[in-house]
Amino acid sequence: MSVVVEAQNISKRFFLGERNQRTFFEDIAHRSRHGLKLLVRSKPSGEEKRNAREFWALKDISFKISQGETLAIIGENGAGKSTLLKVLSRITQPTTGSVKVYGRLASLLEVGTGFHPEFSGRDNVFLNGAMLGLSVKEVRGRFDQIIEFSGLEKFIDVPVKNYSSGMYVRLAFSVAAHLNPEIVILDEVLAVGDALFQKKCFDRMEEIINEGHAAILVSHGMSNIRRMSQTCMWLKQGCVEMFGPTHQVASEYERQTAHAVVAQYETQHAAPEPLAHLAGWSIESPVSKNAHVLTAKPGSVTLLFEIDLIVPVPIGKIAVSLADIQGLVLFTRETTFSQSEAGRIMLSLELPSLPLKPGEYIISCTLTDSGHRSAFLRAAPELTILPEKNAAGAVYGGILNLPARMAVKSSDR
Amino acid sequence: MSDRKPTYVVEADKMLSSHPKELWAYRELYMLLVKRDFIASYKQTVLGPLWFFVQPFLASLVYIVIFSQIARLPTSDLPPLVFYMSGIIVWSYFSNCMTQVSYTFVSNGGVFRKIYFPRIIAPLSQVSMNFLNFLAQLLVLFAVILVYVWSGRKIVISPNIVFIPLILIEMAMLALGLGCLIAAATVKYRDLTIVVGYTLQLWMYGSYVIYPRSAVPKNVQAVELFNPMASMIETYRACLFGSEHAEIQPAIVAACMTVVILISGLWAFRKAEGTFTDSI
Repeated sequence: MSVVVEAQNISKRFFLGERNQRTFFEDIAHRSRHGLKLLVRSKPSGEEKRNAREFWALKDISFKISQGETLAIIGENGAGKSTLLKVLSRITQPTTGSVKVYGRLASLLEVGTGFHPEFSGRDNVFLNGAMLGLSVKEVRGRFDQIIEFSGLEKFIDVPVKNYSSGMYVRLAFSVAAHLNPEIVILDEVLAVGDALFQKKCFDRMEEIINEGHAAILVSHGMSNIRRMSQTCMWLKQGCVEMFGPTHQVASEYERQTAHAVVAQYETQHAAPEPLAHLAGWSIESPVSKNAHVLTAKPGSVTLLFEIDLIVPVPIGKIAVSLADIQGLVLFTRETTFSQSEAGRIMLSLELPSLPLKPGEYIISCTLTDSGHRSAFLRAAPELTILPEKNAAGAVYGGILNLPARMAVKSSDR
Repeated sequence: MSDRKPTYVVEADKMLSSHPKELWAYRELYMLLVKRDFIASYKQTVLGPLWFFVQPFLASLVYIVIFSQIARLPTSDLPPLVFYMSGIIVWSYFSNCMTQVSYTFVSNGGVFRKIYFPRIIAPLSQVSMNFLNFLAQLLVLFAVILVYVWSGRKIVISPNIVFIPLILIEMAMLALGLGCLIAAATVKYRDLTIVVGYTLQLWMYGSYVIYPRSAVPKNVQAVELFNPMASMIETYRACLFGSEHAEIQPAIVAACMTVVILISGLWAFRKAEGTFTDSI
């Protein structure tokens, strides 16, 4: 497979702070103080370098994409994803490094840019197409497809200023979706409009990828990333945190973001005076491997928690919740209790079965007393569920792992 | 690795665009942008395309009242309407070109931030659109002259009129160069565009638009050497009417200045286009 995008050591530096905020006259004064040589070339002086707050949006990013390959880029907001895409698509220049692109690259960073409100949908399709690098002939060849995809046949000769915002983005996406470039940059926010059209957008994106184009996919939706890409790059504060097969990178990313979410929750709910501590937790079950690990087999499960009350709780409530690694709460149960003395209490939760698919789960207890003081107690380590050994070929989808038997027979009729 | 040539390379120290070949590849976008700007300028107006014709008329009337009737400035041997109109259309061609080019990064910022195409296409299409505007207005001027000739006034159209496109191109080059310099500077100082408007107005009064060179004392005429527009407008009138004489020395100086300004403008523009998204 031939390489279509080759990026080497890309870095991008921004200056925060005063460098771009001086007025013209302040600049003149500054420069005359620093001698005339600065007028010739506006390289920041040493002092200025120290003053300006440098900010590296990207640091030393290298990667290759081959034909037919899809690279996913994930990371939190501000991790440098869009800066990277802008460098790749020639919107902005890197501070160091180089990018070689073989073939036409279309970056659908945002759709509908360059639409002119006074012009009809038809004129805008041609104009937008030309901006994105299509010839008039190419647009003409695809025009019917584009319009059909947008579903705006009736309104195509109406000025786009009279379009609803939904119609506007539908038309814009339709143009973008029919560019047929060798390399395409897809941003998930591109899936626009109502649910039906969104589905269409996603299908089209998958189609583009399956047509054998190289693609760069930016998304926050891990399921799409898993389905549509083979390699994944995780950016964190401008650096590559992890780079490798999508399933590995995505799992690790999910694990860490879930931890961050829980940590945030913990600090939010940290009581000024602590109410209780979780001393430990364990599982009692015929299907458990050890205190914190289960096998995905049917069987009763009892969760035991040892909680140290720091103060007496005469009237209190205690809740146990079970969440998946993305923070989605799957189950909660609550009970009341009364403890007139501080000290250790035992909490048990009996479940006839815990039908969860293999993975890691976060268990937490929340204690509330009558004065609305509360304690959020997170069980550590997490509950791990391992796949069942003998269930060869079992595919776990969705959230639950309900006990089931499947068979295929020929019909009697 | 294969020895294929990359479609494009982005490098830290190289300017982002624009290979002449690539400019050619985007010619259709250029045409569409010219068309868009031309049509967009009169969409949703009462008079529509008529504005191209009404505007110079109104401006000429104002100048006739102020400069011809009140200030009693001479208009060489041309009727005031013809004199002012010929000046106004060519000056507004130049000043619109320059203003619009200097706004390139400000007005196209949204698109430039999302889509790549050779940036210079935007100012080029603006200039071309104004060129078309000017041609339309020139036709109106001829119509006015025709009316005067009918009513018995003698106005001579010089055969040198064939050189007018050359002067227009020179003006466009000057406007593009200056506009690009300012556009590059607006990346850092946004309010420069405001200064442009006032400067252009002052500049007009020093450029033989509302009075002929013959109305200027001989010793002041030397200032013309530093004002390429003065020389160009005089040459333009000389080509149109043969009423004034074009002087060769200021014309050569003007041409040299234009070339220098254009080259430095394009250089500054290319330098700015790689990093403007970082600061605007």
